[in-house]
Amino acid sequence: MLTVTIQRNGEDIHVKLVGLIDENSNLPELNASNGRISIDLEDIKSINSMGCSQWINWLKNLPLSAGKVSLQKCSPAIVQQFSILLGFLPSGVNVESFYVPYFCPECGHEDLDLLEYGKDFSAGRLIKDLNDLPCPTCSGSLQLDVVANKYFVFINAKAS
Amino acid sequence: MMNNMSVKLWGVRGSLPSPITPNDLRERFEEILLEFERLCKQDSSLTAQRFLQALPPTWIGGYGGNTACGEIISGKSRLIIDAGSGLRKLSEHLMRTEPNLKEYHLYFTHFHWDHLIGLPFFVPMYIKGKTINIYAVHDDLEENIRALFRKPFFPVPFEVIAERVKFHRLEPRQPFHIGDLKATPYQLDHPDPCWGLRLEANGKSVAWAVDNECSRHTRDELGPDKALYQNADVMIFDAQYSFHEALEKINWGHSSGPIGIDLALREGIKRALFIHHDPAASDDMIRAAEEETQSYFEHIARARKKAGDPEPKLLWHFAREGETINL
Repeated sequence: MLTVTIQRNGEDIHVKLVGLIDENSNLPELNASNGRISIDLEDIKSINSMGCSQWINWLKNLPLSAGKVSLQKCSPAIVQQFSILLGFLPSGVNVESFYVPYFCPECGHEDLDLLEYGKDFSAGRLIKDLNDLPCPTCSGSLQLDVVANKYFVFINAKAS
Repeated sequence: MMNNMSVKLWGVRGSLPSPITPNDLRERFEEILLEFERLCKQDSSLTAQRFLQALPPTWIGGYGGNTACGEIISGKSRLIIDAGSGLRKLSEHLMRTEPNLKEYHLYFTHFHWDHLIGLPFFVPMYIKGKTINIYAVHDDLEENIRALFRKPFFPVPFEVIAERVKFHRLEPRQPFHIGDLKATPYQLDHPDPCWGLRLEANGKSVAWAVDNECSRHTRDELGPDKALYQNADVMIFDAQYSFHEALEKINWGHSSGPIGIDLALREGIKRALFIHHDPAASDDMIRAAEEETQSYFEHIARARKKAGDPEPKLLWHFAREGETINL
């Protein structure tokens, strides 16, 4: 199930999506003729193929040409679709920040690290070194829990 | 004695027959022989037979080039679905193995060329004493079939075969019976009206859902047509395109593997076979679409595991011409 929260600040719109995007999700109509649209995806747990179709059709109706749409705190479920599905991240949509999943092989602890545009990555370049991190629950270390050359491919794609 | 149902796929290509060319075949053989040569250098005991057995089946013969034709059998009951170019091989097979068969039953999902072009080559139509029963939901069923047997498209006029052909216009979502096979037409999502079929016999079921964009995503949108899919033992589904192609080709009437995976998981289907492969797609491209579907399926399985849900039990693959599935 998908929960949608919309906040307006003058002409700008902030949308938070929480849960699962699938065939039953109703993505909201947004009318932001002059303002910016930011979409918070931190709590998107999963998106299925029919949800991808809904997502792409939804983005088509947003003012992409002016570069006024940005995605924030993209969860791994969303980032994985960036690399799998052409059109999931159309030109005109900016990624402000996204999560990278980590996993501790010693104790099984899972964690997320937030990467931000300008500080940790830019168009075409990953700035941050993705070293292992100390595990907060044991003496082990957290390792990257994705295939790097697949997960980060959208950063290069945005530069081209 | 219980009669087990089986499905044989005589044509799995979409839109247009797409035979492999002599040059393509030569290149494929060269690749395979070079691979054999390379492996022989590593293992001198490797035999050609063992090497060929280890190769994935589509590496040698590909997926097949004939268009839509399926055969559903339950005991002595047989229903042919669609008359694409695959029908010619089925016709040869029937004439060889059951020359004395009197009655044939042929269902049309719709009348696009790729589902029709094999019909003039169905030999029993030209033999005295045989009866060809043709079924469809469409009001213009008879008119469409008659139009095929007309100069300059085909030299034999319909009048030559008319006494052997019986037309049966079906009601939407109302079952009809061929022996112990119960068949019910349900509407698919295609630019011209297209009717899939649910087949049931002895507690087993097959959902034939080809030429289907699946643009009605939810159960509510599907309405009465969701009964086509629910808890089917086997679903034959349209995967003409890769996932991103399907999302770009809106209203083209075809779908992709990931959409079929989600539909199958939601509706409790046990096994899915994907057909209607794009005529513009080489065997390598179809294989890539199958790998894309595998990545998607693994992604779904991981997401379910993380959420504490049971792993999906669905079996699926991209089907090849000539495959038989026993239920």
